[in-house]
Amino acid sequence: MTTATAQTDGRAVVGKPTAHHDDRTLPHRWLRVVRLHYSDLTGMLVTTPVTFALLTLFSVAVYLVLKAYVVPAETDLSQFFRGNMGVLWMLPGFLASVGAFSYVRTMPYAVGMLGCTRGEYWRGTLVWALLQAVYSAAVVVVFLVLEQATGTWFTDGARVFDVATLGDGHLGTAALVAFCVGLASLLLGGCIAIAWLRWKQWGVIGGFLILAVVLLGGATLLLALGVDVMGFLAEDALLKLSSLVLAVAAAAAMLSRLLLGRAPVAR
Amino acid sequence: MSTAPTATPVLEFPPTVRPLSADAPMSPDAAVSVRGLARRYGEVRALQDVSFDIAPNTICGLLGANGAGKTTLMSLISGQDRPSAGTLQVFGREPFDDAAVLTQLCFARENQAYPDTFAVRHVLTTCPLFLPHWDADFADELVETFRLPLNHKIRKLSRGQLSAVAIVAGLASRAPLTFLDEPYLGLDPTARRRFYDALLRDYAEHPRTILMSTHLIGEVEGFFEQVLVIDDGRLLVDASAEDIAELAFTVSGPAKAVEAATGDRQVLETHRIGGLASAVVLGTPDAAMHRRAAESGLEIGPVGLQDLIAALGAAPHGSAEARAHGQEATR
Repeated sequence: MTTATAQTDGRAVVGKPTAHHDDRTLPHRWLRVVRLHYSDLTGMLVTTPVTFALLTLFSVAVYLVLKAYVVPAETDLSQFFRGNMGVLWMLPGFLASVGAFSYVRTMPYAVGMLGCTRGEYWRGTLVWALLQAVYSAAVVVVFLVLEQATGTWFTDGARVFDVATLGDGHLGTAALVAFCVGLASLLLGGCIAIAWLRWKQWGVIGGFLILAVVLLGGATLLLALGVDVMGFLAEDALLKLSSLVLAVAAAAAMLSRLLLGRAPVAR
Repeated sequence: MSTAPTATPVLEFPPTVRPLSADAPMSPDAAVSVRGLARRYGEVRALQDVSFDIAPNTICGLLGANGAGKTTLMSLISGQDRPSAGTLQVFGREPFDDAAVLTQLCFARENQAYPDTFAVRHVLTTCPLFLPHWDADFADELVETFRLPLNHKIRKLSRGQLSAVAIVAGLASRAPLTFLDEPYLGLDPTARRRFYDALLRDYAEHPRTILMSTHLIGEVEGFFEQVLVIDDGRLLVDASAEDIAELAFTVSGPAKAVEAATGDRQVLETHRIGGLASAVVLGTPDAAMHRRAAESGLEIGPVGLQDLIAALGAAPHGSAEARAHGQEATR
């Protein structure tokens, strides 16, 4: 067996931080985390509109079947579809998983191999979540405009985006609700992902238990204190609820920063 | 056949290979300076009282048995984890979450997790974002050397190809402190030879500090300028390549003669084949040893680093005292 011998010429210290170290790269490293998340453009940009398109197809199919075989001909099915919450259920379900997968996929690589600090990674991922929530809201608005332009997908009633929970066709309200729900979903998904990285399945179970306790506890507290929730939401309900959801998003962001400090980066 | 230990003297290594004391002052000029480092996971002590320095522009071998603590030590030095106790400095600063230090590092590990939608080319486009010393031309050359398919998904690569990706990232990073954690896994002998050639050639042209863990010690022992041997979370040996070559020697011949000749020495391990035996003995052969060998028809020879590490690790797990008696292995 042959081996080679290393030879060095005893050059001066390489790499020790000095006054001449190029710090111009450092302030922008968290932006590079954003670029890292968008390395897979197809996944980040194509999946959302495709998913909404599938939801639309499904809703239209349900509408047509109901209209043809179930409800009497004189029934205004469009009013029932005003309560279609498909988008509002799909957004958190889909984007929470996007948020979770993005953490699990990129954090061990960025922090474990490429020397990204956990702070840089968190900041970059937070910006990515904001951008992705804006994008998701934009997609919702585009679908809403299409729905209105086509007379509810040429069915005269199959409402998917022009629904009460998205502001009854108001573009600004739809964008706001979609952005807030999307952002909270991405960041909560990220939180669950970090809990999984740290504590595996017990972290996920514990995370959901804590979430359930907080939600139920908060609801119980409001009832116990006799707070007139319906009265509070009588005006500008969607705006107020969106603000509450934004507060949840902010809490999820802070919690993820706290948990990220000790998350392992390797299997 | 193995013999149970009776008396239990502790192994006494020569001063030239003994690890530093935890009380020794930190070395400000070292690339890595560690004192009294410890890492516990609940009841498990992954590292205990580890102290050493690594000079800049050095290829340092980190050797030890499976589960000895090599990867844990690398994780601490690379700033990915915090120690439970002790002091650690990389380029004069504590590395954990320190951007100024982490921009100087690249950790290529054998089980590196990549984004599962990544193809090989995505690794080559994302590494330069974070590694300021990245050499794209060298990366392309390495991709061609290892014949990596650029558009293949990472998750569909073979074990050897995955290792090659990590090697490309680790070497092309030209990071002033590069970690290679068992980078050869799955590589065929030809690919390993290419890796060694690329490593040495690039190291000669672009000196930097490289910390490499490996079990294929025989293939790379000529690279190392410094060797750290870890066993059961403790640093056993911290030696230069020259000093570790003189840490032990072998005595071979008739089994009874070997036993008689080495009775007054610390034997790390003895191998028996029928009536013949070969003992790995701590220290260097003196005149008396040479005389006894000549009288008994024994052969005295050097110990390869791989055999030495195997002998050091052959003792019962966690028992330095038992290792003082060496172990007999029957082939």
